[in-house]
Amino acid sequence: MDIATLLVAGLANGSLYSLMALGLVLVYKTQDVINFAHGEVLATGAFLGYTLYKVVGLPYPIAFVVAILLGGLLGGLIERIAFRPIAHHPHITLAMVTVGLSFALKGALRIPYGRDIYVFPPLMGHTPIMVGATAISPQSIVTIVVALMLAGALFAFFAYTTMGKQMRATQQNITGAALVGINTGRIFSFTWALSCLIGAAAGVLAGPLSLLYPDMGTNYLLKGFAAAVLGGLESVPGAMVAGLIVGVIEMLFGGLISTAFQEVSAFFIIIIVLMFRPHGLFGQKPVHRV
Amino acid sequence: MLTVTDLEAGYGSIKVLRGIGFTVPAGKVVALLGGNGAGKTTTMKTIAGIVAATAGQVEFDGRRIEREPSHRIFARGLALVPQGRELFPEMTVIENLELGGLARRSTTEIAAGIAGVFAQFPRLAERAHQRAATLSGGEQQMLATGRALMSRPKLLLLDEPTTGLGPLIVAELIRIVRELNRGGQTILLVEQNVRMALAVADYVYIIRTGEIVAESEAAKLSDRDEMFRSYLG
Repeated sequence: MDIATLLVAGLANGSLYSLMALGLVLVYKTQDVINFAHGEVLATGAFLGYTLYKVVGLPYPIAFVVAILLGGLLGGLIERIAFRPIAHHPHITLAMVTVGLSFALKGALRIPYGRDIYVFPPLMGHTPIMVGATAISPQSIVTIVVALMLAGALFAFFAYTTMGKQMRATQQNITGAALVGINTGRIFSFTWALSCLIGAAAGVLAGPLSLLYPDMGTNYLLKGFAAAVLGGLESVPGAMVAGLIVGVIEMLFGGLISTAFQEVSAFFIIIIVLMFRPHGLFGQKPVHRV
Repeated sequence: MLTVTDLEAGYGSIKVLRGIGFTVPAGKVVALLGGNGAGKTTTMKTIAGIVAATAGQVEFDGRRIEREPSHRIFARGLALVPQGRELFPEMTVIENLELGGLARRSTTEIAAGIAGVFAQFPRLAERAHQRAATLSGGEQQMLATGRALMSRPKLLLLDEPTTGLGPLIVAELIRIVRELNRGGQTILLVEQNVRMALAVADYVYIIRTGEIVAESEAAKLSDRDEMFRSYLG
């Protein structure tokens, strides 16, 4: 198979892993906890997008924006209801709550959607665009472009807005943040909202590449988590780049070597990288002050 | 400006403050002196809303604040420079200062505030674009103080500013605290360093195992005073 074809498909999948990794990294940087329900956030986003686009009949861009805003709202509510009251408990408690949340969200999705599998139609048809021998699916282009736009918006948000700066400050030193008058509770809510907004965006974009069912998030969570670890777990650019790497490795392995190894190939590479750089590609070596 | 009455606080079942009380009049520098574990830092954290008060009152600027969250207390004009400095390590000096003013001031006021801090601490101006983590201990203390001043607080709380710093930097801090006070800044200082406290304070309270055991005008004390020394343990 043509390598460029594989690369584009890999980048498309990879940009979804990047978005998943971004969502995980945001929450981890702020609250030191991995959100094991993030796969279900993606699934919720996918079903919201499907419902608004296919069932309600909204134009795709509007359905996309409404779906991710609802995803963000869900994130903010989750933080306020499930995590704020236990914010000062050990991280393992919070992590267990995210596991419970994962089951709860899956269950909630099964109420309206049952056990059926749904198909999200691609935005611009199935016909691939041919550039020489390279076949590019229009959906891949949409996915890559939207993911890059979201990542760009996120970087700008952290660099230039007051809320973005306050979020970075809270990530670096929560006591310091409280001392300069930052309402850290509001920052927690906003972090979850932002994380889930990005997760929901990954879900809407994943719709046409995958099939829709309440458990669809598991695979994306695994790959997104792998990318987050590879990127250093605390690095936003790291998550972005590592997601693309995971997507491309997986496609190249599947296309050039064997599809049997496609699913595990990325993890294999990650294990090798972590053997030599335990703090990930973009993570900082932990320094202990004496 | 600040009146603390019968304040109690602690961590879990450990009671650290057992009914502490003192006042900080406007325009003055008041020092709390005491040895390790006396409850000095807990007093500061409780006033600033980082540690919850279990009993007693904190009245600041005519309002009870002991039940308020830290960001609201800060918004009322009370800024704490904590013992651990609590800077944002991955941010530059300028970004740290900017955050100090963000919650209370407009962007133009922030720019003016940064200029003001740089005039006060020329060393910080030289390090403007360096990450806070790369600063020396003295510079970090200056940055933490500058960050707190960015909000133009009515009351500045300094928690052991001299910890771990050399004598030259301590002298520099003494100069800065005096200068701030001459400009009208009300300051509550917590110290183990008796010389620093007596050099800047108008009034001194001595704290031991969570209680005030003695108080005096600073001018009447000398660090050679036996009675006084014995209280510090």
